[in-house]
Amino acid sequence: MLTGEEHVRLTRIFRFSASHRLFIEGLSDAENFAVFDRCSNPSGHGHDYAVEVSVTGDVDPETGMVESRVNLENLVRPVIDELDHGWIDRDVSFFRENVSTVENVGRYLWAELEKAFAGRLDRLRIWENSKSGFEYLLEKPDDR
Amino acid sequence: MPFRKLITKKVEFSASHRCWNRNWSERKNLEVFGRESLSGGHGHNFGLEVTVEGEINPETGMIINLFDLKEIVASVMEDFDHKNLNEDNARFGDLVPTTENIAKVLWDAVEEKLSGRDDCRLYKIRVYETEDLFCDYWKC
Repeated sequence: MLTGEEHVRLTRIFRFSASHRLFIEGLSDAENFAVFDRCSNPSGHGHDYAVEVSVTGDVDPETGMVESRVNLENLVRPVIDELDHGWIDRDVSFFRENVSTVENVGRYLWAELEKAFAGRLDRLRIWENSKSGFEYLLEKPDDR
Repeated sequence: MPFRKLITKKVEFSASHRCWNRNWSERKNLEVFGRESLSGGHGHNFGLEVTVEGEINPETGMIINLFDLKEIVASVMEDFDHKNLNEDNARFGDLVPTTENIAKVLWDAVEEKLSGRDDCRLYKIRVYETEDLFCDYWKC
């Protein structure tokens, strides 16, 4: 079986460092601790995040690429820079309504990047540290 | 629900390449490929993951003997490891050796080597050009 449709997914990892705090507005510090444990520390804490941005599409025969690295950098870096070396909950309005868990930071990044990539964004994986990762992807029958 | 059974062999290879379209000016190449287009080429320690799919043989407990898979991958690596991909590997004749095309060429090369086997088939190729840039390639 040497035939079949070609599938190509390119992934670039972008890194940023930021502080945040997991808390629900209106709960006391003790109540927040009961939900979020140490992540609710009132003065916050920080992480080195790694974001795997995956795009898919046809390989351009002239460039040999599904996405130019220059384009990838230009589209993704401004979105990452919004968070880099900042306090996520204070700097980005989305996190005034949504707790800045790794899941919600992933959802936020997906929404921001999806606008820029017009359907070529395939999956996004975000690591809060080397041991906790969240993945957001479109379910597709031929995916591997 | 049936399970999909996959097994993966990882190897590293060191190679040089230059992303360069010979039909374009130097300036256009620089615009599209950035520093990847510079004239002397450059090298990377690439990573390769070869994933095959098959049934677990009840007698051996294996999809494929990993030693066999290692030898298959090693034979493919002869045209890649410590080579200049633009100069030394005929498969890149008209293909710019981008991460995507390296993955495609590796898929074709490994698939050829596996074509006589009935115990497993190639499922996915992943090529790391650097720790922060990789490409997945499969056909189905």
